[in-house]
Amino acid sequence: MTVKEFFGCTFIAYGPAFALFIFTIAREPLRIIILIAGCFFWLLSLLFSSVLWNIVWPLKDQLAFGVVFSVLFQEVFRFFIYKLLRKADEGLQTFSDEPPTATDKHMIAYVAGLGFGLMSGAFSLVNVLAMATGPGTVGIHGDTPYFFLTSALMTSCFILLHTFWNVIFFWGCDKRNIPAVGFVVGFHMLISCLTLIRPLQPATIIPAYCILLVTMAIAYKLVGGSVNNLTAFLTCKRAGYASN
Amino acid sequence: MAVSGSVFSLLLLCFPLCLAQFRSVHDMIYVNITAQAPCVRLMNATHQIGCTSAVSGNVGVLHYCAEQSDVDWLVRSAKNPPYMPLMVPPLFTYDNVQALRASGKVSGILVVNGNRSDPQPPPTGFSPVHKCPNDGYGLYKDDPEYAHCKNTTWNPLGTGLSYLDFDFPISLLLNQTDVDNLIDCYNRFNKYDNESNQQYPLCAVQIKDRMDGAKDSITCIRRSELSSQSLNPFVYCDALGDKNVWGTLRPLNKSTPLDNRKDLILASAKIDTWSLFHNVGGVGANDATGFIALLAAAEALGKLDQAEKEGMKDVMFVFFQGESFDYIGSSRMVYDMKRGHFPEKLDDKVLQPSLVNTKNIQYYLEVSQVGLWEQSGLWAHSDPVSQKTSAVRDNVNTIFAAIENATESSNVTIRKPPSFQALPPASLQRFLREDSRVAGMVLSDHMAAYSNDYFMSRLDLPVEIGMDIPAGLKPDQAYDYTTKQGASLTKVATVIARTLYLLASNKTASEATKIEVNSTTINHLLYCFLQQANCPLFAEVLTSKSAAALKSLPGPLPRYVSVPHDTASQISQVIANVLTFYLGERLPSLNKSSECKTPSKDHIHSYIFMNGRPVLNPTDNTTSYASFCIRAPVRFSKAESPAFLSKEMLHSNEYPTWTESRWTVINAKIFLVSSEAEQTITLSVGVVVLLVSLVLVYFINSKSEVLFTAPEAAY
Repeated sequence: MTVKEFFGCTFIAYGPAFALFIFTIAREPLRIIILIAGCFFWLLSLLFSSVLWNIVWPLKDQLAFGVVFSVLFQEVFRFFIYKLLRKADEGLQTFSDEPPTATDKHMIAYVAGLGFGLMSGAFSLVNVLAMATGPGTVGIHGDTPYFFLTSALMTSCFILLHTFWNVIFFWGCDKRNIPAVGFVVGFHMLISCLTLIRPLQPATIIPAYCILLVTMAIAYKLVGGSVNNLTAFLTCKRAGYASN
Repeated sequence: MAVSGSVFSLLLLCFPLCLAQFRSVHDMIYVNITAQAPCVRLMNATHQIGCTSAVSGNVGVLHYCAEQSDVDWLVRSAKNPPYMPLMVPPLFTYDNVQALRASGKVSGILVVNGNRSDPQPPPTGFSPVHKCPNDGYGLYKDDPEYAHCKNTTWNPLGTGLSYLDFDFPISLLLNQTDVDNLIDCYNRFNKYDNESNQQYPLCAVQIKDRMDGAKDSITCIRRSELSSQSLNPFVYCDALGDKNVWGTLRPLNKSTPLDNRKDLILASAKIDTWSLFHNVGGVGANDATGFIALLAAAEALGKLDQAEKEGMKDVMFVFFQGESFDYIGSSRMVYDMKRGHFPEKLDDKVLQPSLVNTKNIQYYLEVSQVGLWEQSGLWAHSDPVSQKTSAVRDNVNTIFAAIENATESSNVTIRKPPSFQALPPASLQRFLREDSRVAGMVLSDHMAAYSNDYFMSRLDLPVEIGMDIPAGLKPDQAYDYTTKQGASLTKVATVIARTLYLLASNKTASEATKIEVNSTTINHLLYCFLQQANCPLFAEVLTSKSAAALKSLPGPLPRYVSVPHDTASQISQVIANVLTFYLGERLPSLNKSSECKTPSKDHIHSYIFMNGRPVLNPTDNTTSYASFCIRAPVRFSKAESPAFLSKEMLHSNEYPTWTESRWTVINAKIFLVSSEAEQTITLSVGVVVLLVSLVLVYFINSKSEVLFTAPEAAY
């Protein structure tokens, strides 16, 4: 039995997201509400994608069609949740005693993005994991034997990507910065189509993680990070000493 | 399992789009085995036999055994158990199976089903039943001289393989594509040098055929009964059984009861056979020659004109079901006769046949295996014990004289084995056990040990008894083709028909020569029962509905007795219809299927609206059927062991107690397994990723003011 593989892949795929949830979200009820809202909006995008997929029946077997429209729907719903959260911002702030800051705006974007990512991660891996507990492993038809591992890595990558994309996307919308929004939609489409060309092979994983690094760097820059901050963090300097 | 269960329920909550991918992931990992005949668990009062897998199935690394050396390697040197050997037919022997089982290295066995025309049997023969079949339920159970085949070993090649209890599955692969898939997978992944280490991933097989019943019939029935009172009733096993078919040359009627008259002639044969593998069709060919010859003899006698039939003694043809399992069919018939319930309890309101009792039987002729008589001669066996009574001895001698007279004008020689030799396993034993005054003989193709080297196995195939139908023939040519067996069985059937005629009519041997069994009939019966059930004869004699059901059957009908249903099994139904067709009178006035119904008050006859032959309509090229209504004194009787009628009888050791375990799924699949080390690496990577994430996020969160110095103005 490959219960071992099952747990291994589960930890790889959901470990980072779990850590983020535990330390940054779990203790704040407001953030949990936003997280669930993020999940819900991703599900809505899935609902619309599947409705479209069902209606346009001649293209049911064309995976590319489904992927492209699914990405578009996700981005549209990312915009909707942005609108909703910004509208709700004032209401939500009544729970808080302090006035809103830029950090709070980024926090909302980050939490909603994690919700978005978690739901997409759940859907992309749960069915694969269900199969992983059986006695067999992939490969009898010549598929890569690393199928489960690459699926888990890909899922982990997508959860994090959604989180960072959301931060960039919300910032772009706030600033009316079209390139930032375009960057998110463009890279989402790019990486999704990449999986179409070479589905779940190590060759897809490396570019995906490169994109993740770039996205992460941009998001970090946007929320007020810099190389100096990073070095300060790495050299264990306390706040206050950081020189801007 | 709990994990996969919870994940699965989560999945069900998901939406249908998942399913598309869900299936494809399954297909990426598994290749299903499409057709298999498993060895299933059966139980009697004291034992369980057969096979079962674990609840979640048995998994083993595939090892293709094409040579004896492959089996030896598994037993001696294989290092990474469990294995799942795939064995070619000549290697699947008792010794090999026992060696593999004793090694503890196999989790199941797959057997290649050889080509039916070239089955490649083990050179030493193959019979997986006991050396002394049905021992303990026959006539000589406690006989000091004859018990346990002391006097003659009937089946010396019998190994008893079918009667062993295996804790792993054994499956016969019926589809050559599956075998090819397995061998291909083996060649790609498992073809390592026998000495060196295996290289993962390895090709493996899972067989799932968990049996619900366990221990023995008594336990299993008690469990089912206990469960029947619960909220979730569950049946663990069912008693084996079906229906016997019996018919008479002219109707028996209770208005002229047999009473104490001893002038009934009973001719019987057994229908069923058994092999280690569940419900394989077209096996037990030599076993089938008996009932085929008797059916053909019934046709020859059925053609006599009505006046002549009226002048003859009553002749009853009986086709017993379940005889392979300690005489289920005959033990029930004898039990019913003894209680005065055969054919049924008398009831004033309905038209019924007269009661038949064992004491009414004057002559009993049983046809056993007769397919190989040209090699080993035709033999008439009788019981030495009951012949100590002179009245019985005289009647037995009369039967033998009749057989000798019947052979006169043909070149068949009938011989008697030495007078001290016991009766071979036969339904007659159950009659004699109840009433030692029944005079009977058993016709067979062996003097002592069986001539059949494949008794009760999947290898008792038509080709082994000389059914040499050339490969290139079209189905309708093969149907009419006279095989070696067809020619030789026609002679035996003629002898049987004439013997019955002589016994029933007091005519001379020369007058009996007018009785002739048609070789076409034999050819058709052999073809339909052993080669292809979807054949013109069956299509003609069945009802249109049953005939349509046979169309989808790829080969011959299985003859395993199975478990009883409201209606008779397909094989009993077909035999009843063929017998009705041969013995019956057509009723042209009833030309609609709705009119041709057995009247509810008539328990003497059966009315069947037969499908008839296809008639091509030349004007519009459509086919219609010349359906007709036919009536004959042919009925079913229960072939269910009396043991299950009461607790006392279940424990009495008198009657067969065989039950078949129930099961829910039977499937098998091929896939790759990764090494233990690889799985551990995956798990370790997962744990490391989780821990690193936790630590990293903890520090990022606690030092967020260092990392993110977001100036208000920047937003």
